[in-house]
Amino acid sequence: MSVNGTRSNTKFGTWNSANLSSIEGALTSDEHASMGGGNTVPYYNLLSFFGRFNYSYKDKYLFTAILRADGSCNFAKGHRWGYFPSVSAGWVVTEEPWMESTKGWLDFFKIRGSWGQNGNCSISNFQYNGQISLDGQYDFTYGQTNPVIAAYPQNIPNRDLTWETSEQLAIGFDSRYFRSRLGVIFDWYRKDTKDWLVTPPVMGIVGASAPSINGGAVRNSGVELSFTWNDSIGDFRYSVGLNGSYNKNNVLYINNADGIIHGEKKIISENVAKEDGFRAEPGKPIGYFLGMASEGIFQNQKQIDEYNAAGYTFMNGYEKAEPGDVIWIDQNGDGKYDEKDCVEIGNPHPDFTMGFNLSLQWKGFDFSVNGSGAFGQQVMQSYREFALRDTQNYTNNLLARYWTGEGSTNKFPRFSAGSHNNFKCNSYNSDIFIQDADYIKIRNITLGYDLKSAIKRLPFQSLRFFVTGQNLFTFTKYDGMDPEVGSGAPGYSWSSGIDTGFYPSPKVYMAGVSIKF
Amino acid sequence: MKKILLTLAACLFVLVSCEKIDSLLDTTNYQKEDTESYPTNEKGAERLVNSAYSTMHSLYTGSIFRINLFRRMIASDDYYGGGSTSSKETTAADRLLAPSMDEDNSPWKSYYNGLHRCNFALEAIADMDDGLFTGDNKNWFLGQAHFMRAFYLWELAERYETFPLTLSTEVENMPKASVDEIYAAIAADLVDAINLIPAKYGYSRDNNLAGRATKYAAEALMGRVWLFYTGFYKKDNMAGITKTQVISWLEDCANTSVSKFDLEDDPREIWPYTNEYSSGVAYGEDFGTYVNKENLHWVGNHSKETIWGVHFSLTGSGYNRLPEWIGMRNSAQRPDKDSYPYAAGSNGNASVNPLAVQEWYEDPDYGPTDKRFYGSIMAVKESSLRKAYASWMKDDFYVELPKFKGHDSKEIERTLFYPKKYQAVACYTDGTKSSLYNNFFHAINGSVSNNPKSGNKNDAIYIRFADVLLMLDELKETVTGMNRLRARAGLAPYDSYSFERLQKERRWELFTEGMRFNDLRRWYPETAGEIIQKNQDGGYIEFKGKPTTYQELPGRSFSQRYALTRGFWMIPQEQIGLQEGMLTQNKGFEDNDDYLFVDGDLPY
Repeated sequence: MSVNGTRSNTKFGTWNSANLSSIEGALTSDEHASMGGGNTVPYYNLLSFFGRFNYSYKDKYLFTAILRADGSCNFAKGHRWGYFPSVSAGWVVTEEPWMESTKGWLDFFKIRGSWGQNGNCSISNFQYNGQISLDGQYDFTYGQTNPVIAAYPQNIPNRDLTWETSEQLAIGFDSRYFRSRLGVIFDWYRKDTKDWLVTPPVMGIVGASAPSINGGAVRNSGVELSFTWNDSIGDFRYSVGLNGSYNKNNVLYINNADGIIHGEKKIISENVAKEDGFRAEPGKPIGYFLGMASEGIFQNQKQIDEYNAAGYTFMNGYEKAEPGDVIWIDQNGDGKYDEKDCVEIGNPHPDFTMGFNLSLQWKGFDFSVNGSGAFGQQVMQSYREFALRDTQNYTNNLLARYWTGEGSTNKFPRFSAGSHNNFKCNSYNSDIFIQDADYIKIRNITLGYDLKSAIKRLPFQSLRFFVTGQNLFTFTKYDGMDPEVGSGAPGYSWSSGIDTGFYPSPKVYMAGVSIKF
Repeated sequence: MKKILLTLAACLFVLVSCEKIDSLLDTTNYQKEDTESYPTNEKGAERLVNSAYSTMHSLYTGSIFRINLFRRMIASDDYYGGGSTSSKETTAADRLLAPSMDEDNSPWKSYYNGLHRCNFALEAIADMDDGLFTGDNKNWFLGQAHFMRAFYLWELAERYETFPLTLSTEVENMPKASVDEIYAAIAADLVDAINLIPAKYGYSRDNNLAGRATKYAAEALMGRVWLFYTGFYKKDNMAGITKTQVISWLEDCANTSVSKFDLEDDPREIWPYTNEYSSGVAYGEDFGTYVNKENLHWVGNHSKETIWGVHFSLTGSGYNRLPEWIGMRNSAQRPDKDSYPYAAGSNGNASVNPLAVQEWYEDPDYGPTDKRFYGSIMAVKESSLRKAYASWMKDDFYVELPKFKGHDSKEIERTLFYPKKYQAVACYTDGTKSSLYNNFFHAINGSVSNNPKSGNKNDAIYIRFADVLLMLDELKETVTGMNRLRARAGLAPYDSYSFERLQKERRWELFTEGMRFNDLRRWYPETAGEIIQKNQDGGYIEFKGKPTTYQELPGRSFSQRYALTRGFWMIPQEQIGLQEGMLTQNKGFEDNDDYLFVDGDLPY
């Protein structure tokens, strides 16, 4: 078998760039497809050196130091190398002779601490220099059948671009008790991502695409605790695991002119957000939701009159409120509702996450359950423009949320046709779109039976029948399709928790047989 | 232990600082050239200049608001808005509103991409050694880049009035420049283009010359910009450029033996609807259309009358969405025998103002014998049409598509008159009339998509030769050019010049081409809004099939909006955010203005 092909006239006129995609007279999309490739050939040139020093004294005192130097081709000469040291130390307390007295119940106890740095260089190639793209074209023929190449500077170079560093400090212990039936692990950590590699939007007047920058620092800190218990009673074996962690996310600084990395404005249905719907800003969690806050719904005219009498103003253009309208908060009390009244209205990061599992075995039977949960985070939900026209599609749970009369709800406004400040909110994003999204999910339940345990002469090592259900139960008050919204706004890798309608985790039922020979 | 660690560290540093090892990370980009070294030869310089042209394509795909021609067409009294209730952009353009706060974001970025490419080309080519170029090519390239920069600046100036003026590749956050700074920059670029582009390049069908900016395009654009600036801002010169200079440049451009640009024999043959596939001539048949009856034959794209326009490639990327945006619609959104030869696959976004049609029809100096009348507009749906316009429409009024029904449940401001010049055009696949292409360009070249949207490859024409003749008449107060156009249209000559005659001749010669809005703005800077409103209000429309009349939005009528905006558009809100504190919003689109148009806001 052989493959060959000929095309002449490379765009660059050099042998080195004689790859198929650099051919003059651009390839048709069909030709691209038949080559099974796109137009990019990324480099992953990475050069690493590292030295490790290990020290262990009687398995009691442990010490490790690592120094690594990593060089990446993604940065300009002089900015290529990152040095990442790390040290860790451990002390197995239970190895100490003076711990003999606890041997009866404490099997193992190790205290450890570590500090270290790691690097990240995963950005697209050649961000450090100005690239001339050759993929423009224009046709200067009368017959309009011969487009020629147009070359243009496509990006703003950032020659100072260098490694992103993540620095982690952790202290904790591993321990086992009662003949190793109980295990307890605890950690406190603080992880700082410095020189964060990010591509923030750039002002249009620069006339080319935005450079990646070393854009700031983000801190995650928290504690993790996990318990496991394994034991058996006769033929019955079981294990239980439970872990939980508390985490706080906080942006430390942003390295650009206004100290903020702006997010998408129109992330909620069109026209709604005049100010960023989310952003990265020092002192706040990364990708926090920004917008107008509300304090309930006007339930009756009396409430509106009182509000009016107290000197509060309504939204510009809406001098009069009706029962069922949102009570917006004029944060600075200047009688206007504008970007100065936009505040943090939600945080996409959970404060607390947990996981659990349970497994049981008895004779040939086995049973297991595992699940997880997350608490304290919010989701910004944007399926449709909510009240423009009754002919639009929305999910029916929305109908249940509307205010329908005094006392019906204090969270969601009345239905109104046309554009209305209950939703547009002077074209700012608002907490009407924000929901708490705490959840607990049972991810997997499995029941199995191994026939081998009943019929010993089966010619297999094991013949196990099982049924499994995945994602069978979700406990949440979030009314969207799935509270576990990982994704954020398209093109903003650092945003999260924005539900623009994604494919939810499917419920799966499986039955199967596994045979071991 | 400390020793060991230090040794370890020292080893690493030695290794890393070794040039040999560092050079292992040297990489060459085989996909892209480097701005530091490009271009190294004449070909590279030419490609940089080409990119200034190719950016124009990005203004013709994507959303409606990118196309300045469309926006100006709809805002003028040539057209009502139209489309369906969800065509917010069209209604917004018609009423000087914004369909969203960032509708202008993508064109804004495209204009600045264009400027950046011009700036890069100008800087890079100027730095190149003269010896690298054949003949006067260096000047030719530089002159084209100056022209393109002037063109983008003019489009920005006409659209936003003031904006950050970026004349180099080093761009910092900067505020809007003043009007005079902007027009001085445009004038300087156009003078450079006129002086640098060799005079030998006039109208040409030669390879690599067709559609390039010429000295004559620069002269004509100078006329266009000068007339707008001096009219709108009431000045007698533009950055020192006098009327006499402009006249001499326009005369140079209009001198056909130098420029080779000229009028076509029939004004209708510039437009794609006269093509021979749709009329059947290409198949040796007569399909009995208007074009057959009038014996018209399209001269093709790159007419010798097109002094400056955007050209597209039949085989390359890029296409012109303008025919789609102004295109007609029927319920199936595809051509049939009632819509033939028009594609009818669009949204019916642009209906012609019936009061303008009536004015043209009844004017004794023009009327339906003007070849341009039925050549520019078509009437449809005879039964409703005759009833709606019974007061002035005579029995012999030509109804081009008597059975075309449109799409009653969707169309919102249908006047039963549609524009023809940029209309998307279909054709039969062969002489048997048994099947149709959605788009006649597909018949010309099979590699063009048979799609009423992405298959349109017709020129977007900014300056026609006829316009140059009219600019000359306006500046010199003569009738020479007008009478050439009148003779071509089958009308008797005017005996003398009057401003009113000039205005009428410009209006009907350039009807529905997107020139009228700025003509009115430069002639009547303060009152253009009232004029357009008066010329539009009360005309017949069908709102979702129901007869009514064209009405203003309460509290924000066209004249009110014009008084605020003077016809300029909204700076994209996103850019104001990104240019924190430097860029300010235009009048009429500030926080307290009621400028957003949302579907459902229509007054019917």
